[in-house]
Amino acid sequence: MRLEKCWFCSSTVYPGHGIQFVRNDAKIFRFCRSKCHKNFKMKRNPRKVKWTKAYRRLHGKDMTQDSTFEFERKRNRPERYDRNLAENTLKAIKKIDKVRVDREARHHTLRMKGKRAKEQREAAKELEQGIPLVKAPSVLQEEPSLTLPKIKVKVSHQESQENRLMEE
Amino acid sequence: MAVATATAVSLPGSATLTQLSGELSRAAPNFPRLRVPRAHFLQGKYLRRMATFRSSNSEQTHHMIPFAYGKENVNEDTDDMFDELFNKYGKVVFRRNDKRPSAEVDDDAESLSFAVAMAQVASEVKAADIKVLFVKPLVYWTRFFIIATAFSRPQIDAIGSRIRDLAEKKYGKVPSGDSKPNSWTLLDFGDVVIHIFLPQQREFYNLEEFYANATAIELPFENQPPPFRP
Amino acid sequence: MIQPQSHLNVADNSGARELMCIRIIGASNRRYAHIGDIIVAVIKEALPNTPLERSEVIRAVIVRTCKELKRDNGMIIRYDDNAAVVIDQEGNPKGTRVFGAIARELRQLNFTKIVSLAPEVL
Repeated sequence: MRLEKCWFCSSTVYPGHGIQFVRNDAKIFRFCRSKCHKNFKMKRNPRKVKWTKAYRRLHGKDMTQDSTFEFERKRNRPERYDRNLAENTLKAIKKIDKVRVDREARHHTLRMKGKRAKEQREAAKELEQGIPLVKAPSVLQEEPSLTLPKIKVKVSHQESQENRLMEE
Repeated sequence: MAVATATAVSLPGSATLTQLSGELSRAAPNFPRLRVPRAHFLQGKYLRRMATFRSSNSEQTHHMIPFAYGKENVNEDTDDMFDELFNKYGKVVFRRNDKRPSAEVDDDAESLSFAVAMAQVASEVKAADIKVLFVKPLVYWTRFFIIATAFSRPQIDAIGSRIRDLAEKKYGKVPSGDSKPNSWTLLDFGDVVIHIFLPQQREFYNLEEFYANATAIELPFENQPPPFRP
Repeated sequence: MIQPQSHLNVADNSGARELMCIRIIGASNRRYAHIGDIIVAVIKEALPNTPLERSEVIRAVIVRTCKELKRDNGMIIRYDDNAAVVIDQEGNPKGTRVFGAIARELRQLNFTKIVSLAPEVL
């Protein structure tokens, strides 16, 4: 029994699932489900299809190089069953999975770093530029209470957001 | 110098002699006879050590660097050095590039003995040009091929039935294959496949050419030459 | 799923190029033939200067089908084309070499000869 990788989406294909397609040059393509198989028949390139691992790795969304991937390398030599070895391997698999998931989470946070700051900057800018859509600039100058405070105080920021929402 | 380098390479080998039978099998498939000149140190004390080592280290993973293949490097000095190094270093674990688990080797030995026995039967019935090929590295669905030539259909029938009987009696294996004598009769024993040809068919299908990369196994009995074709 | 009038490629070097199925050997009204079935076929296209000629009626074994082959362990295999190997009345392949991948099922169906000539067995 062997757990294969789907050619299209790179998820694991468990026994009893999916279809294997053998091309005339004897290259085997394994698919995990008919979704991947149909995409393949449509001649779609997995590197361009957003939800596949190939795309994500190519565009830096997911980790590409890590030592935990070495453990999953394909080995073609069958091992004789040894209970201890099997037990240790199962434990190791669990541990390695945990490590890999942690590293991927870290990669994700690293990727998303600076998003909050960027979002806030953008929001402030939009507020500053876009407030005329809500209230005319002449009116803002007349009634200072209507203008938004320049100081970034969280409470009033929320209030002004609420005002905007209400005025909409 | 040469000896030193040989032992330097074989140092881990000395500690894990259990894999040597696998090594031999890799180097020369006729290991059951243990008469391979390059590994004469496998006799005597090393066999004993191998046995004890194997039993004591069944749980450890055995790793080994392939030892020196050159025949000239192996001599008595090497044996003593092995001894010395083994005593000095004890159990040493190294990474080996391609590990041959001993179970695989045992199975191969079994199939080999079966194949050779079948080939012997064939030669008794005067089949010509018997070849036993070790095809495991090439095809995965079988281990050995036996190719033999018979000169007439009744002879093919005779060989076939003899082989079948012996296999059933001695090994309990039943072949799947042709029941009627055919110009190419095939007997499939799982890990050993026996092809019996008429001379023209052998020429026509030319299986030896197709499996030219397979290692041929020497047969310990008298082998008749291929039929003379004028 | 090969039925009469289906065209099949020839996967060996017997000289034929394309076959058309005429009949399926087995039961009298078998509808479709799968991998490992013997069919009677007529040669639609043949290579020149070979023992086999066009419009010759011969027997063949199907080795590859576009219809999926299901195995007991749940594996499903699909090939890219429909192909057959020309065989004689005794069951010996007419050609000396087989091309392309061959399914393992042929071995269980006593076509080990074809399997032993195959470059790759899947």
